[in-house]
Amino acid sequence: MSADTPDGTELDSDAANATADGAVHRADEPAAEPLVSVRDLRKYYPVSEGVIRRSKSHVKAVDGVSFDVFPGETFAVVGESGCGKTTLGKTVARLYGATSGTIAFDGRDVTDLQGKELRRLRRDVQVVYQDPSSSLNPRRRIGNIVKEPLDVHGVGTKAERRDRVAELLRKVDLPVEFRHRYPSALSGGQKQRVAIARALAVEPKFVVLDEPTSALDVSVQAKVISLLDDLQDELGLTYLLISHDLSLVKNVADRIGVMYLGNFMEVADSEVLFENPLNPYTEQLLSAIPVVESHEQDLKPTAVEVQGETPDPQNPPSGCPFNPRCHRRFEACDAVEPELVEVEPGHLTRCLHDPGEKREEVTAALPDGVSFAERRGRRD
Amino acid sequence: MSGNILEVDDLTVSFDTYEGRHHVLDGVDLTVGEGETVALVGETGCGKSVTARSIMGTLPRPPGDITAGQIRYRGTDLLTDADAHERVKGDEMSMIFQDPMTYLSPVYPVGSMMADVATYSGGKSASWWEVLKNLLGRRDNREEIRERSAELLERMRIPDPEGTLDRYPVELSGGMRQRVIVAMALINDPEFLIADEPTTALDVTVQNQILDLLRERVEERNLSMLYITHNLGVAREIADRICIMYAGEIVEVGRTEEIFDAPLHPYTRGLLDSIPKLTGFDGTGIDGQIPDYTDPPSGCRFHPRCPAAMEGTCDVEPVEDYQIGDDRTVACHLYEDGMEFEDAAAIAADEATYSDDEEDTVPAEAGTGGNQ
Repeated sequence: MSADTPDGTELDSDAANATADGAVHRADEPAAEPLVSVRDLRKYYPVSEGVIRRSKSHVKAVDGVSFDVFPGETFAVVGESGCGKTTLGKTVARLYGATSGTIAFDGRDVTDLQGKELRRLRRDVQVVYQDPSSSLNPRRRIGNIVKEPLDVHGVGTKAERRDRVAELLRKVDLPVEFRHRYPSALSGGQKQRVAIARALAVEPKFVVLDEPTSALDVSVQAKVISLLDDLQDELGLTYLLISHDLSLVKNVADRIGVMYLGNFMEVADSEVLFENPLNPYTEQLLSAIPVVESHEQDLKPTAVEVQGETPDPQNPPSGCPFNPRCHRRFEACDAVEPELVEVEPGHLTRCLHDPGEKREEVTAALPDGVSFAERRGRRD
Repeated sequence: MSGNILEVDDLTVSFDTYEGRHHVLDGVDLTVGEGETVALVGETGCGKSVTARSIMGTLPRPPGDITAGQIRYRGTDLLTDADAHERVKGDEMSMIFQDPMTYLSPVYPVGSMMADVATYSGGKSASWWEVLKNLLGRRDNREEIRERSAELLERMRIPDPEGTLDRYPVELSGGMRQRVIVAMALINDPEFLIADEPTTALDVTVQNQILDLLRERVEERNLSMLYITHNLGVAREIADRICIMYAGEIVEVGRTEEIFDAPLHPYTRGLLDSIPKLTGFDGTGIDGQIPDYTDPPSGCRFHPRCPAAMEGTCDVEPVEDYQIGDDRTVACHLYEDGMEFEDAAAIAADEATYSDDEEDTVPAEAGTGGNQ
């Protein structure tokens, strides 16, 4: 992908590209190159104090995060409010400039892109925000809202754009007549569909979904989630899903990163994370999920007394960030900062305890005595 | 009365706006037993908070207008007896709100707000001299009130309760603020508590802590509680009984386990299906959206979205609450009054299912319409 491509590329050639991409890279293909590759990403916000607003310290919203997202997969970031998950999403989408670290998209370093090149990147990377009522301009008609990205990027002729808007609205299951309405005339779920249509207008490869359903009611949420799922299959999209809802993430994501105070505590395949959480923080999060079915209860780790709240990110605890709340805490925890280590293929955790110990304990307790590697194999 | 602390009977509330008259609550029946926790569950805009505010007597009138119904607290109808309502609201009821930052003043320290609640609640008037004295921090029983507040904060597991009394809400974290709100609601030892989405703004781990505190307190003091939430998982954790609300009507009432094991009303079933679960997620959802209250659907308010709607019945005849088995009521034409629970469960499994294929369910509906 040449960075010098003028912005007036034709719609059709781009569409062909997208579908070809979608066909080639599907999830669970081991050999695939990552579409997005983030290395040691940091985003610090300055905290200014005093009359002259001199910056005194930093809030480390994202502090050394590394991960890969493979084409066609959904990588989810879960965490409590204030853990930096939204900042991570927006930094990866290049809405915020990174303090340090690199973001590579399709093998190309995009961390410091500016101007025209950055705008070109925006055609590949789009964002759907949490609250559609505030992400849609109340004074513009739906048709114009969805058409805006096409105008900005100069895609197609006027007539082509109009057809494209109709096609997009159909794609998100909205009647085409809605193009004449204002956002205020739509329900929450319909507005979120418009936001999705707008994000898909320029045929991105990678979509950052920032809590796409948490402003919606459950009966509507289910529909939006299955729409996103269908669109992913149809268009071969790659998602970075940011959410606080673990039950939702379990059903939607291929891989999950559990975030706490600006960094991942655990990264694993979705199934593995729920079956065998290695990090105490993940255990606490899982045991706190309110469930609605009695057999769901059995899937949660045994109830762990959850202590305290997320500490002030301006002055995080020393050692392991989670140590003041941890139920497995021991002396070394507030002195030594653990590293994110890979304990089994694709399963990373950040904890001073030897995760291997716990893994054997759990493996022994499994009814059929299968190892986790075998389980993973079976799943595929 | 029969052991019920609160009985809401046929409560009907409308709102007058420029768009016309919104018929929001349509005959809400609700009972809360002595020492019982009842969860009122429904989606945004279904009238949960309007119900709570009507009970608390804080419904803004106008535009709100209670056109019919009774709210009986220990047998006294609060709607006809304004004095009794004032008294009950001040002495015996308390309310916990969703967003602590909206309900805590940013300019007073926690202790001062708690002292105000302790001093003025239940009182009808206060002399200017008293108010001035209190403002200057010279109230008569300030030591006692401070002690009581600190003790309560300690019960809420707030670290350093004495210090917290002198802090402002902005200095506290979200979970701590919510604990302060709960403590404020409990300071005058209410007997009846209305909790309006008290954990919605919180993280799951903190939410669990608050639920534990509430549960503990309810057991210890034999409190009765009406817990309002949109989260069925939370309702399952805290409630003895659950009322499912849709578009201003209570559609199903039953014991918590039973509602989750065998939901009867098509709306309850759809709602439960829509929740992503650890065991799986089918993502069917419920089509359509909550109706326009200026012109609510005739008959059953859920019929335009219902997969089992029967033409000629559901869109015409208003629904009544049918008693199923011992302690389940459901407002749906699929069932008949006094039906055995097993029969009802069988009907529910047959009829009230959501599938992606809507055409499939339409002919089936017509058949049942004839049977009934």
